[in-house]
Amino acid sequence: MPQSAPRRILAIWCVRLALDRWRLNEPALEGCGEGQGADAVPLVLVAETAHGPRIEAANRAAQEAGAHPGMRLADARALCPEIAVRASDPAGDLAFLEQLALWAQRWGPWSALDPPDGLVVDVTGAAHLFGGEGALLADAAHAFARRKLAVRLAIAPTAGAAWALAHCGPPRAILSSDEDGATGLGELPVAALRLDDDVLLLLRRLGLKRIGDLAGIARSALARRFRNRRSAAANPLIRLDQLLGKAPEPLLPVIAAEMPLVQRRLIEPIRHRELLDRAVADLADDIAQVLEARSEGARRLELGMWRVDGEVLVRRLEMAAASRDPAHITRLFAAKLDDLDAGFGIELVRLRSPWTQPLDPGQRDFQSAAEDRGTTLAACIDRIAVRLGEHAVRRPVAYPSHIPERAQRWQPPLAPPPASQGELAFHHRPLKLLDRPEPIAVIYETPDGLPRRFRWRGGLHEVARAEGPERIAPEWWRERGSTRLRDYYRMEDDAGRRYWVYRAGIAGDGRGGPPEWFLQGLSA
Amino acid sequence: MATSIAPSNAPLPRSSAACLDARIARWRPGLPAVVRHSEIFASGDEASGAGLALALALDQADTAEAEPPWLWVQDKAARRLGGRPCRAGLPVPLRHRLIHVAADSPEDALFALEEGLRCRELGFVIGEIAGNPRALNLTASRRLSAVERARSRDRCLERRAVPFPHLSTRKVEVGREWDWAHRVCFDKLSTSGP
Repeated sequence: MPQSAPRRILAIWCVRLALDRWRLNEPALEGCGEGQGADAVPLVLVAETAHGPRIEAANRAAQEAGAHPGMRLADARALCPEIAVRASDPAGDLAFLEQLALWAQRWGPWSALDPPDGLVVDVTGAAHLFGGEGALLADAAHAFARRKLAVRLAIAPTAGAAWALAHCGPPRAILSSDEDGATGLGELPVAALRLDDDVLLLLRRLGLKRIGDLAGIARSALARRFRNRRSAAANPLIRLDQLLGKAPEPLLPVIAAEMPLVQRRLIEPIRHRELLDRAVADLADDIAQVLEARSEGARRLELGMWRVDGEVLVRRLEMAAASRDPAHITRLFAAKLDDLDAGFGIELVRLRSPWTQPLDPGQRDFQSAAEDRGTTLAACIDRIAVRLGEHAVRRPVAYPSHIPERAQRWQPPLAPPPASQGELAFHHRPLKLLDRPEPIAVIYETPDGLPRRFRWRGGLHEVARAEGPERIAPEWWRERGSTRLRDYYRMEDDAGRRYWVYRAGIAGDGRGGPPEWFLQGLSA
Repeated sequence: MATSIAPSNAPLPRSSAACLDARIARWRPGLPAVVRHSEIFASGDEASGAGLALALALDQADTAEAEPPWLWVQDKAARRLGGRPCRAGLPVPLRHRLIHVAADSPEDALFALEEGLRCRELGFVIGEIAGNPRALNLTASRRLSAVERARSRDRCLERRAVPFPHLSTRKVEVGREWDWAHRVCFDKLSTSGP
């Protein structure tokens, strides 16, 4: 069996991401590098906490003055009164990192985020395009330097090893695939294992300072010491395996998704329903064109309406099958706009489709001829679901269970049915099942004989014929031990009506008092 | 009196709905070949109305080779009184094609019925509405008939051979004590070929 090429992962660590972003966004620092202009004076980025502002990041001048991340701002001011303060922006940093992850796909087919300030790029089989891995690292370092971002880079066979080298290894480190990871990384500190702070503290107290030190301890001893730590960040053994490639480490790739979006900016804010309907119809036409160009149909649509007074109204719609029929979309939205409060008017209407599916262009003539004969099933389901709610239209599907009320489940009508075994043909089931079995008073031959007459909903039913029992035992793997078994009977009363009743338990089964009877189904 | 009806352990004959499975021993309700829109009145404490509706549907669907989905609309009171359809108890050819609509009010149920009638891919539509609500008056019933007629006319024209049927709202009573207690609308869409 041919071995696939070993994976090569490029780890990028933005050393001062928050500060670099602040410097790039500051208009006064246009064209300035690090440590120039306003960056030459001590500056910290702070976040508000319950105990006052706390320093998230400090520039070089501030660090020389004594401020460091994690410190309270008041303490830093005591050391350096002239320190400048800006608010940190973690959400903006993450959004910037996402953009950066897409941009970093120039070195490999996919990339993943490593929050808060790292990226991982899969460069397997791509290094030769740059002239080798060393040249690739040089190219990446040059590109980041041009963007004025301080980074540390490393390439290794696993994401864990690449992260460790980027954070703690020499600059632009490369760990080749045939090199033994344990020896190559053994000199790095244990902090390179991506562990939580309390675990690092514990390891330091145990005297384990380098990754190589862990190799000196028997694996079983480590496993016993950290047996309660399930998460990877709290268990050095899992991290060690991920570092050496013995345990898998799934990464979530970042993929750019383009959403079909159309909008209309209205000259005059609209306050009346007819005009809004007109605007929605125009938008539906526009998005149909956009979707047709992409050979896609919309499954979910979002209509956003911006009001003059700053409110945004959003209406969402989900369709049973992919569609781009403007008339259908308009009609479905019309039912959703009834309770809209336009306030002082709507000035911008935007329609976008967050979920699309491939839909090949259809023949127009064929469709229009068919439209005269009636709607399609998907359109019919959409119309009903818009008025009655999405959970109103369902299809029953079989579910593996003995208990009758559990043996069927409901799923969306056009979803593919789940795989199931053939049903047993000798079990009779009623045409309809009551949502909740109703208790009935039954006269029967104790302890487990056939019923003779029963009273249900105030009427007395003489049993003309009865068949049973069909015994259904409780599902012990799902229910508690005190659940009673059920003996099901099919019964026909003197008027010919057929019912499906059961007796819960047997007298003397030790699970409660005398057995109770319930009526669960109606047969035709 | 109590001893006159002795419950026996003899197996029950198969129910009428179950009989529909076997093509040979099938119960034919005996109505004329084309029933388009009819109302069945039955007690809410039994499933005979739904059974008859299904029998009518199957009676006329046997020549169709395609297996179209079908719609069963219930309002809230009908679900509470008579329960929901049980997949394993439905006739085998209809089981996997059921689409169930759980409406809250009779108005919503009528709306769903009308939309179902407008759909060209549904085989037939069954509506189950409990009691005699104000929404389900003769106008609503006629309206359903009219929608159905508008649909079926095209179908007739397309096939050219099916005679245009006499369309009147049929009413069928099941049992002695229906008394407006439960009403099952049955709407047949696909006409069987001659």
